[in-house]
Amino acid sequence: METLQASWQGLSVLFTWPVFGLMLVGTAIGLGFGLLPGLGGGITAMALVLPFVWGADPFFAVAILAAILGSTGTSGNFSATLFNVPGSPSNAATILDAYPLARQGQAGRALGAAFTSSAMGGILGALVLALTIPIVRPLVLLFASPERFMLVLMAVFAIGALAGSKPLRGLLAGAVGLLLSLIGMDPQSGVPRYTFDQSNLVYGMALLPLIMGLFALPEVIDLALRGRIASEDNPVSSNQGGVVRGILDSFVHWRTVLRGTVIGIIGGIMPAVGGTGSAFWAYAYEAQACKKDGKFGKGDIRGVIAPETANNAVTPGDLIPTVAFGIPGSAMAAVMMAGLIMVGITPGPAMLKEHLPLTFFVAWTIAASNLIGTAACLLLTNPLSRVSRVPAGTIVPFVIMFVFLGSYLEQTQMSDVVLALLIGALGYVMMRQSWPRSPLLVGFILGALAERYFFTSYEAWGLEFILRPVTLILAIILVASLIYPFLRRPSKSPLPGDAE
Amino acid sequence: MTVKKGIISADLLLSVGLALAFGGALLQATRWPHQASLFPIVVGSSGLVLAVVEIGNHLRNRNKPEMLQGDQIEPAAGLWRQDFGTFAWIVGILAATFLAGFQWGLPAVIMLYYRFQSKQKLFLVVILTGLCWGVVYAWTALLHLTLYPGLLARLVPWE
Repeated sequence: METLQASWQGLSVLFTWPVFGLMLVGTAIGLGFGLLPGLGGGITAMALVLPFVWGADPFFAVAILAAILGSTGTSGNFSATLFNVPGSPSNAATILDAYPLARQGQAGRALGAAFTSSAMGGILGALVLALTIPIVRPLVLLFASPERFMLVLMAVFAIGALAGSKPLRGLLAGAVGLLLSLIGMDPQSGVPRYTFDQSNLVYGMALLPLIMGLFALPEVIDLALRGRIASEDNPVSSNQGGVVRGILDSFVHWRTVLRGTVIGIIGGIMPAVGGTGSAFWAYAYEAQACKKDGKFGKGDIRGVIAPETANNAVTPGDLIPTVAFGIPGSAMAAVMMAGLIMVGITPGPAMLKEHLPLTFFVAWTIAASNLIGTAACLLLTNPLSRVSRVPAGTIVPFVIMFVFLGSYLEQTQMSDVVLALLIGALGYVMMRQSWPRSPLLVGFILGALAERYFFTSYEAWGLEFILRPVTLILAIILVASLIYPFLRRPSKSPLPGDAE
Repeated sequence: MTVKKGIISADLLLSVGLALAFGGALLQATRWPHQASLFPIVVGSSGLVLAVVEIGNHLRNRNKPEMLQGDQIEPAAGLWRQDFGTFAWIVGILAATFLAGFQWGLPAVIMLYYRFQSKQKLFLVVILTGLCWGVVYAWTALLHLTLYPGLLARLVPWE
């Protein structure tokens, strides 16, 4: 009963002012960043929006952030279909059939199917998230410090080991994140650690410069180097005539939609798979399932529906471990978690216990932004597709300006802007050399929690805390997920973390 | 696509840098009381071991051509120089902000960027720079912030 009430409360808040307006703003931002390939999609958008939600009402902050999460993947279809350039990495699998369809004069059909299936995946995924909350809540509340410590370690190191084709680099990135989280005064003893006698480091390293430097700056440097956003070579016309046919295709192939949704949700829950991995997984599964009558790679509409359903269902799936256990499974979820922390909410058991309506609100916002984003894309196909052609040189200085302002905001210190620049240099080298960046962020966000849970467990049970049954099972899963990537055969195709 | 690795590469430099950072962190942690040093020692030593293994891997495979992953760029001659060029613009924007503050320094260098780096037409440069200035102004007004005024404003207090 309490859960139902909280769910209704979360839904009713969505339709109040200014929450609904903020959700629309978030949806517009998400669509904008999806439209502009090379800007890094939702993660850059969320990073740049974080300064604005600093200290805001949690519902206001979630309305914007969750709407960005829900809508970015949808608009990425424009450039994927018309220019053969994915709007965000998660649209990469869509290109395989959407672009051939567009070249056959069926761009409208491909776009219609992509938008509709994106909405279906996002809404079904959000419903699963809402239904999962009451199931996992009692389980999560039973977990004590040792189990939570293990979960935090799993979040940092499993993501590190599973992201990309070089697990060692992911683990190293996670360790760097943990190390950076140790900067500042030790909460147990009051000893300043790694502060180098700098008073501005006593309370730890600020989160915003890290996020801005790690994700926004590398993308903007890369964009500035490429000089243009989408390829102007052979752009195809967005023939709107087939849009309705594309919408109907998504309903005709409802089995493909369901399969894509299930794969997306599972991919979201699993660490490090993310939108890109799930979309390729759904595409490969669909191509295998329809081997007899399929024209995959040559313009099969199911090759558009499957990845698009999956990459939008990933977001709610990704948020299940984030809101339930406080362990983000991807960089996007980590930034969402950072946003929640900034407004005083700690995702995990505490959020499920004390902020249940807000937890449901996340799911409803994602569903609503998916629906509204899809409607906007369907109604404004032609004008929106033109946005993809904005020259990179126009956007780059604006993004740099937001990075500087955002980094400055948290502690109003110029040293944080310098810090963002230094982290940006590190982030760019990591991006260029295919080192996964998300484990670093996850390590940084969860570092303080890891240390706290470790000490609480150690003081209560000594090192024997590891022998508690659930802790032991989690430890075995962690060790297995660390060993597995080293045993698997080297893959010739890029893994999810590579395209991060 | 494959690419042959050199003995010294960005990967190796990054791994060595991380090994040094973890080593330094470990060394410093040993000077703190037990309670404050336990977790940093665990993290520092694990990181150091991982970094050393990564360096070892790199040196062992230095003659093997490497498969390019995902959207990884082939390190063509001059590419790093272009990276530094872009990075220099960002450093320039930072330096101008230090000197003349967010309200004037930041839009001023952005104007130069539009004119000389992205080679926009003069009238577009004026509009886009004005827009940047407006964003900074709106930012301070919306968030009720006092932005850094710049060194020059401190030396020559014109306001």
